[in-house]
Amino acid sequence: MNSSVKAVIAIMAITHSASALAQTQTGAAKKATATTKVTTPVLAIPPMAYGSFPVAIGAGTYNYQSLDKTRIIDALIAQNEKVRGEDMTALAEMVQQLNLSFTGMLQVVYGATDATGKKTLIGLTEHSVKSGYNPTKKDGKLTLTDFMQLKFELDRRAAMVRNNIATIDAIPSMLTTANTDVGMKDADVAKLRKNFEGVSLAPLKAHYNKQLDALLAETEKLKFGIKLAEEKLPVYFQTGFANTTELLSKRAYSKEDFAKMKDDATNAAADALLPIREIHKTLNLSILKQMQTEIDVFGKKGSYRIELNTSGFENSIKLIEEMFYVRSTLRMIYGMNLGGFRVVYQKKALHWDKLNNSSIVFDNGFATDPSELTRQQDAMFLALNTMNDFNGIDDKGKVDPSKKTGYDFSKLLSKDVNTFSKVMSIWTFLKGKTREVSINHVLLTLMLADTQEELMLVSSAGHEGIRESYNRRYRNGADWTKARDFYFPKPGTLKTPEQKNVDPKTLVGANNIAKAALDKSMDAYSISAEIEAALELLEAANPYFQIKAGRYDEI
Amino acid sequence: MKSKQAALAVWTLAWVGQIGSAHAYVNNCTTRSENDVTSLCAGRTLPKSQVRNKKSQQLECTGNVDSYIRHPQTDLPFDKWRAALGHKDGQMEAYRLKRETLPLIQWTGQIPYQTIETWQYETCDLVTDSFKCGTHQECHNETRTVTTYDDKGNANGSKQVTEEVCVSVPNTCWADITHSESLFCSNETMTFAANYVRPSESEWNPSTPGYYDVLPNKYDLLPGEMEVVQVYSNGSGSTTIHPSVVIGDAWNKYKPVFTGSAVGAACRQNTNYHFDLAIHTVGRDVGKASPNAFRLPKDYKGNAVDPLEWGGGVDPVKDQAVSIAVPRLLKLDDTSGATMDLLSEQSRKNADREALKAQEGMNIDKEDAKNAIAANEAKNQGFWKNTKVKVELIRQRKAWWDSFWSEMYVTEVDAKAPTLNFLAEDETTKQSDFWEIDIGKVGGLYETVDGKNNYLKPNRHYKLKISMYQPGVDFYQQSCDDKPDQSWRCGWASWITKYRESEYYSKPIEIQFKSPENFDGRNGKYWRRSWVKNAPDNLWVFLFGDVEDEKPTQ
Repeated sequence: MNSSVKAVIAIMAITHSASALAQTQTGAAKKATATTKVTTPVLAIPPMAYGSFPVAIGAGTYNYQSLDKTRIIDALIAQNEKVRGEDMTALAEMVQQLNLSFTGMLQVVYGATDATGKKTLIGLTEHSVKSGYNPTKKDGKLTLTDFMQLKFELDRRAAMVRNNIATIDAIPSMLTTANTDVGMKDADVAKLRKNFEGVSLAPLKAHYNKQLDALLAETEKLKFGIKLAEEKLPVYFQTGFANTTELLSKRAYSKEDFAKMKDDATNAAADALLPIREIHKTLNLSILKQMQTEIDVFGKKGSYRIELNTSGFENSIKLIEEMFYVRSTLRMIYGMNLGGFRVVYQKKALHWDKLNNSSIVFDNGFATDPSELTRQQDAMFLALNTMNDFNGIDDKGKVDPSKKTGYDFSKLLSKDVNTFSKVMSIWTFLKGKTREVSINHVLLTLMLADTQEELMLVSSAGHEGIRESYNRRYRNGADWTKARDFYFPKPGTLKTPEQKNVDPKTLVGANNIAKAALDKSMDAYSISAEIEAALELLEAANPYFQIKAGRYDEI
Repeated sequence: MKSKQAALAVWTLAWVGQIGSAHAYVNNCTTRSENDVTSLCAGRTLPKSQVRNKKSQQLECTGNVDSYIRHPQTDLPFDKWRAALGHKDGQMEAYRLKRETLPLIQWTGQIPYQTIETWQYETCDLVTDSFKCGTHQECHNETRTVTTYDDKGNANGSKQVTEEVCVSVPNTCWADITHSESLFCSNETMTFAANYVRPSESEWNPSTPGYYDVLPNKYDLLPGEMEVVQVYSNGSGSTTIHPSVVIGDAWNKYKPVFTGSAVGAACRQNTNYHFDLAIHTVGRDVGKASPNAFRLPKDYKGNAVDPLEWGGGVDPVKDQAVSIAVPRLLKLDDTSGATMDLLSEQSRKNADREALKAQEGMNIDKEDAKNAIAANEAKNQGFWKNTKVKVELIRQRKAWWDSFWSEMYVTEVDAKAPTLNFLAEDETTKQSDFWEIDIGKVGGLYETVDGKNNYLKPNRHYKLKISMYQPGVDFYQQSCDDKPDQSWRCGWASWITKYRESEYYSKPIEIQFKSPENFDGRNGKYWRRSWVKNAPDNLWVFLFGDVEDEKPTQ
């Protein structure tokens, strides 16, 4: 029921209860209190002796004391007539309205022509199948979409008509402004008739409802030929509109259509990979440049620089850590690859010996496929392992135990311990030894952890693995809440101006660009999911898909 | 001989009669026509003095040229096309998308040319010519002294001997001498319609061997490439018309086909000749140097960005710091960024595919397959985009050659900078990488790694020439270091025969700047900066002035 009908009924309820209340009161005590129940009378009529009384009066309860009843009776009769007149007019309008909407219904069912005889609307009966109809002929049949549209139209119009019938009752209460009942029962009380008093509209409603039901019953008998996709079963005969379950289980789409829908879903998901290029041009590149700068400042022939500028070095490490924190968090939230860093890679392990105190050389481009990510992971492992100053190997390849200062990275290559924890333990160790460590170790370790996270996303470790890594690195002890609130404010909070920066050379700007790009990917995935949901509905009724669903329960 | 000639001379003289002069010269002139002033060119006549014995009269047409410059087509947004490539059956989808969106390359033109009437005529001139007039013998007696010998062969005196010596001498006579003459006739216009022929779908599609996704029409140009098509109405003056075409800096091998009324037509006045030129593409001309895909930078809104960012410097002699000393950053847009990234990605995908193929063939013949895999591993790794750039600094002098100052090399990973270009609406900007080359660092243009000071002379014009090279891209010539097995030139004699930089580095784009007057970063207080060393150059500039300011080439 629509809301206006509800409101009308409510008003009607109030009206009835108020009038009931008024009636009891007038019987019980002819007091002035009864007159206070009159809400908006035309005039307030004071009790008067005799003589004048108002020319026109509205509905209401009046106490009067007059010897001359006839004048009042005349006025009351006049009011009665007036109200009756209004009733008649209203009734006529109602019937006209109902007829109109009913005509609309008839047109939908039987079709319509204009004054010149030209067809303006094709009716359902004309769409339907008649005797002598050839089921093997392809033309002249409805497609599934057309049929559903007709059904929709019919349902809609029927609902409109029913609504019009139901709201007839509302009309009377809208005509009167007063809501008290006035009756002329005895010498003291004049009762004025309100609109539709004593008139029941129920038969009128019943009549129209019955007509509508009859019409709908007629449409239920109509037969339609629905075009299907399969060659062997070209037509499905559907009777009526009420029961469409079996129809919908029929194959309305050809296998090419179905395959295309599947491809559309896949293609939409493929489109999600493209916004990542924007990240390559901004976030990845700005981190790369920062790393190159740090290598320039702290990495070349310059362990002494670290000693002179320890706080600068520590701040640089902090900034780089923040950059990798942003990357890990983006992976946590979006679950998508950002592209891994690439270092120049040589198969011969001996080559790395020459890297003693010289810098990491970066290679152009960012790794997006697992084979390249694995290659890079290997390279970084090797590099960490063979960097001399930690292993005590001098330039000529000889082991000098006195030079050995720290962690034996050869343990990295053993496969028994989870590789991620290995990297983390290196990191903890490195952070405690800022004076002895070189920038190369720091960057390699961080890049190694980053590459591992990239690999996790394309394996079954997935979000679980990322979460474990994230918790280990950023929630155990170290305080990253400030960085989190700055770079990743909770949705719904207003960002400060510094958080809105989109300069790609800054971390906050690059992060904002990355978030926007990943949002685009999410949207592409949403589109893909919508198509897949529609496909699942279509699959549900088909037998082989039911077998497949059953087998899913078995695995 | 003599008598015969004399007789002929007498006979001729008697028959023709004396002509003109008092000399009794033979008249060998024959007048076949004298008054035919008709011209092949309508509406005029030839000068009367030039029509005697007229012959070889014809109309010749001159040749003229129409130029058309062709750039890569950017009608299709790159991202849309790339998205299509990533779809299932993406190659075909991307192929069709490009062919539907990119317009055909066709143009029309009008080539003005002239018709010129040429002919020959003869004048009767007095000439001394053996061929035309014959010769006569002139003899004279010559006496000379001869040594006499006795029986035994000893010289015993001399005697005088007289001999008659004769010489052939050309005659002088009247003869017909030929002259050539030409006269402008009319101005004509030839119309033409030229196009690059788009191969049909059956001729060139993703299944065709040698197909590349970036070349869906076979004739497509890659970023940085450009062709100048010069269509000639004719060679130089000829009586039949032969249109021709020269495609400058061609990136493909082409086969032009000419059709139409103009081809092989006779040169005539008042014509409406037309020809159609269809340029068929045979295939890529592999082995050209990389094109220069750089352009001056623009921000994502399309505003031009100054390519040079100036920085400060310290005068080592005066020990002063100046805030605007030398250009320290060179900014450029690499328009080949997106396309080359795509090419490199596809090459790696293909490499994996090839490796898989070789692996699948393992059951057939183990030995061959092993070799194939090894060969594949070595060759077809695929490549990553790794553009190399050479920046050269030269000093410009007026009325003299440019002189080399310094140079540096930089690779992509050290110069590419983050940018908001991806927000641009203009396709070229959107797909470009942004480079910031640090030319002021140690190892740059002003300071070498081993400490040499290369700072600039104040108040002079310098020019930066920037070329690029795309290693790994098979379309372009590769250096021997990047592709050692490409040809014999990289073989055992490569230290002499290897490819020179000019063969694989692109032509440069040039950016001129002027070193500020108030900063001198050079060292060498007593030599480089001395009055003596700088005098010749100062004198030169005083006499000839300095070069004009130039706008940078795009």
